[in-house]
Amino acid sequence: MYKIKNFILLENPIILFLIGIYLIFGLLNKNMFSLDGLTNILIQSSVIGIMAVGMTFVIVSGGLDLSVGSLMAITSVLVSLLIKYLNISFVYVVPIGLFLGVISGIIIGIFVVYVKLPPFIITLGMLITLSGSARLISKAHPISGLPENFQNIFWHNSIFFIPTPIFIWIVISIIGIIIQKFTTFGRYCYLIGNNQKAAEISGININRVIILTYMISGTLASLAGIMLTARLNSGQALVGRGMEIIVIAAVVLGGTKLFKGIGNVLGTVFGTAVIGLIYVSLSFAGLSTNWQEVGLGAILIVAIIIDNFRSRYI
Amino acid sequence: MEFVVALIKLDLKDVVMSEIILEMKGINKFFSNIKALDNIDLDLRKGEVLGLVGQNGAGKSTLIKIISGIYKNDSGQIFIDGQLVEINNPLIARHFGIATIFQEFSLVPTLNISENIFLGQEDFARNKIGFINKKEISNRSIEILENLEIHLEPSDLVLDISRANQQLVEIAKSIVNKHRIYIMDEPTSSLTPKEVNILFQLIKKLKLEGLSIIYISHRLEEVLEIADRIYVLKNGGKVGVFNRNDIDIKKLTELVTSRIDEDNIEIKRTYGEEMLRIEDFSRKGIFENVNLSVSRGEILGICGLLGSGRSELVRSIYGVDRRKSGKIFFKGREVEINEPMDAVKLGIAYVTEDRKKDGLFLDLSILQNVTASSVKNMLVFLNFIDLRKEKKEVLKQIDNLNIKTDSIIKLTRYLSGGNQQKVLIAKCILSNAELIIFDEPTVGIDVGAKREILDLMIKLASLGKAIIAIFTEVSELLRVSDKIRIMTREGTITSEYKPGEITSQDILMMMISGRKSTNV
Amino acid sequence: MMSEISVKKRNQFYLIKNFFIKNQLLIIILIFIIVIGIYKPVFLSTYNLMNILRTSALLGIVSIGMTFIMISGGIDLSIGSVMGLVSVIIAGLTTNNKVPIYYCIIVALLIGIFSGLINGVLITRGRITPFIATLATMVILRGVDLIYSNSRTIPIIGLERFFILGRGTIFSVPIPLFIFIIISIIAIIFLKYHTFGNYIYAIGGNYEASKYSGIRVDRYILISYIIGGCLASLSGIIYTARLASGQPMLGENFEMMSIAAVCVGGTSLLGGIGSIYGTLMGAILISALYNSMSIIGLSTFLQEVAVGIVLVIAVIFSIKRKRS
Repeated sequence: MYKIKNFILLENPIILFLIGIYLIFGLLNKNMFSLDGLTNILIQSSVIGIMAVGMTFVIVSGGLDLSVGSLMAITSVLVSLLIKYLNISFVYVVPIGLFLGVISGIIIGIFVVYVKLPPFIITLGMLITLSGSARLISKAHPISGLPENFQNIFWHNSIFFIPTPIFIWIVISIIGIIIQKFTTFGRYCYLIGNNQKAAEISGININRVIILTYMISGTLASLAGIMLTARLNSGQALVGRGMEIIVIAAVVLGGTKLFKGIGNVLGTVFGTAVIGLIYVSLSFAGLSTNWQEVGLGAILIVAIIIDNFRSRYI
Repeated sequence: MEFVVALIKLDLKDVVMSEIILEMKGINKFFSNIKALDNIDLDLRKGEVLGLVGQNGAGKSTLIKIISGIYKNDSGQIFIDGQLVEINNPLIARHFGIATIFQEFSLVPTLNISENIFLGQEDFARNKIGFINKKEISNRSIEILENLEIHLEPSDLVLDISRANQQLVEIAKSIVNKHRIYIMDEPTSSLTPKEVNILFQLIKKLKLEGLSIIYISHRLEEVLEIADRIYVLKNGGKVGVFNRNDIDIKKLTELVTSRIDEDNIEIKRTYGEEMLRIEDFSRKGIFENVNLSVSRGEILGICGLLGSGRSELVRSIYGVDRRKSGKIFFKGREVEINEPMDAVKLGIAYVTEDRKKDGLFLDLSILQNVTASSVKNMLVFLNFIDLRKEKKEVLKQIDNLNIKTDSIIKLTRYLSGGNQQKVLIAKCILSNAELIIFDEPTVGIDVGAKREILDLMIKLASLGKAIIAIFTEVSELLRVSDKIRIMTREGTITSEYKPGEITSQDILMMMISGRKSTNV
Repeated sequence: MMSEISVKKRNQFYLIKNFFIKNQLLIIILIFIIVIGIYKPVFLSTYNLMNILRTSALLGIVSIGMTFIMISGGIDLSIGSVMGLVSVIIAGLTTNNKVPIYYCIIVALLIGIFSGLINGVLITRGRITPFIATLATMVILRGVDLIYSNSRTIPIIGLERFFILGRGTIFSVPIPLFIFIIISIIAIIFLKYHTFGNYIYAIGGNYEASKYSGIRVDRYILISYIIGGCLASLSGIIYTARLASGQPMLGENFEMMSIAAVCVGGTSLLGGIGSIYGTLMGAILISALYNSMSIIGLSTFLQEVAVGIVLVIAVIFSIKRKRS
């Protein structure tokens, strides 16, 4: 009992936040309590959640990845081009798309580690490059007319009675938690994030770990891009626009601190759920996506401020 | 509580030396449950230089941090000009006229000297709408610099001038800010003798103006030269205050150092193969032509003052600092160590000087800290950490090393200095290192823990590890070392001595001046 | 050991080096213009050069604000969103609500000031790092902008006198450029001779040293963000006048371009050094870059890619400069 209380209050207060918001919004709209409503929330969260897992590793180890949104875009464009014009079955195209994320991550990692620039500048540059390239290649037009089963596999299917996107999110989150808790890589992320110099002196291969975090983040961003492409049934350079902030918000809300080596994937899962909740309830209320952005920005600020004051009094 | 402070030019005969400007009574300071300062009484007179001496960990640093507002005393009172005050933060300390020279928060490197001297004090050159007359500031700063006989160009940027000159600028700035108490902590550690002279001339001028200085240094001969009275601290307690004329360096040394402990652990150790040998190790400007070696089961003690290059030496050996020339032989074979990973792979571990800065992961648990170097050896399946084994090993170390904690998931931030150090030692042990390098392992630790750590080092040696340890405290050095090398101020290393062959006084002398004392 | 004489010599060398660096940019701009001009002569036409200067004015006004903020060690990612918001609010108020244009402009300036205030408070009181704080305000303001305008352009009709602000000329100098030059001169004077300017250099150079010297660091940081917001809104007002409509996506990417202009001009991302003159040159260079790319026929997307690359390179240099 004591352990559970500790778990909630000290480590993941976001859980309380989540439950609180759920109740409040649920009272405003009873639909949210239904199975359908709940499923809706989770589906909305899934794409963000997948990226947020990768972002957690990056942020815990002291970095930041602003390129995820634009990586989604370029993956979307590339993948749909391959399917539509080269007639490659999406079974092969998916790995290619993921590979794109890996490459992007490696490039970012190399710049961070060897050129030694702040990650936000590098990933910012990557963001501009990738989004520009995406728009260039697609000539700003959606690439539509993708085969139906592409969409069906991802969005109209269930695995073990759970809708596919949610299932993928859950699987990736679990893998993320396992890696974080049980592998040396996961452990090293914390050590590097908390004190990079000490990690270096302890003999840890910092460069390898950091590059790996960006590779993971990139791969998952590409995966998210592919999933969204399937959902929209078209490749668009607009996919993922502005997503990086939402993903970072999910991670920060989940209790991960920036640049400190504190945080965990489980918290991120809850943070993602909060965001999914907000999205759904705002759209239920008939508000456009722009309200969601506003709401998100505001919640991010509130969360950080609360967090700043919390760490002062602990 | 406002008081107006005026900078008065006094004639020599008008200097009232006995007026007390700062008084501390019954000051106690605890860190967790370690008493860093025990019932300290101190008084500082107007126009005097009070030398503050004592070893690392004696409490000097804590004391001046309390005066300068960085720490708050747990009990006791502080009086300035006879008025009871509370110094809660550095800003308030400055408000009371206390300046700390030679810290990073004093000068803005990207501004020039005159701008720095008058930073925040430009009112005289400022017009009603806020514009600053730079020419006036420059002229006034020329005046000040001339008065203090500091020969610097006001338009030079602070980042372009030497450390020594930066110090002088800081002093000029404090004068402009009408500070009256100057705390100088090891001001000469990286100065040439000529620069030391310039500093001392300046200090004498400050005295004439009625300003007071607390001068902290390990270099006892310097303290004897510049201070009017000398305050000796040992293990957090006041040993005594002496007038300069009433004490000599021999007596001072005795008071500062502890007796060499009689109960020297005489374990007959057998020395094994040569573990490490370095030849002609040099790093431009820091140390040169260093040769040393250490064998299995042996403890090589190195001592030297701040600035002698001793830390840089071991950091170069370990691969943290890169540029160096010279050869390294490990277990007889020549090796390249270009980064810490190389050293760790060979089986070398390093306990850093500043454990909070680059040794510990403060916001992570004891468990994670202890296994930082060795997790990769506790794997099960493919790449998964065997958590049970990890926990077992950590508990074993905690037991062996007597680390006092109620749980291994406690964050290391909350441990005492001694326990933190033990965590780092546990980390080295678990990493199966065969050569362990310690840099000032007993800094900031209470007496009891110090002994434990020293005993630990001896035990590790008897288990077959080779150890290199850096000390400033000579008695510790003599207690654990099998052989001793001293690094001088010029960055050279002396030849080898066995503990019986040399006295602690000689060692101190050599650290300061490179020579033994001529009259014993 | 450094003697007094050699420091003086070093100082002189430093001055000369500085001179070269400052004019280095000018030289680069000239070379660039000539090269492109040879390739596509239309680039050098008066009309086109005027265009470049007009664009650089809009970018430049914003960049001046950014310069202050970056010198003090901060950053402001929300300036683009301020421009967009200001644009639609002016257009919306005057077209839909028939509010006199003068009041609209005042409201716009207030928006800029208010956004700067929010940023400043989040950073100095909320203790949020500038990057995150201004990222959040960027998102929020853009969101409000899009909500208000429904993501649609709002045309402004018939306000010729307002449009002159963006399209007219004074003494054959385009008005935006004129305003830019005046603001630059004021900024240069303030930066060099006013307490505010001196203190933000100090704060950017060493925050603690400034604090312990008795400077009200938080107050000056707050002021720099307010100025940044104000100038962003000014640029938005002029831009709106030029386009004669409220554009919800106005200012998109302006924060990147502005950071690039400021960094290219010699200001360091880490704070403590920088100059308005440099920013001026940087703004012109970036605008010339953009302009040349459309003349050559590169798509807008490639242009962004190019600017992204320039940004990264500019920042690399600015950091390396501060380190040495």
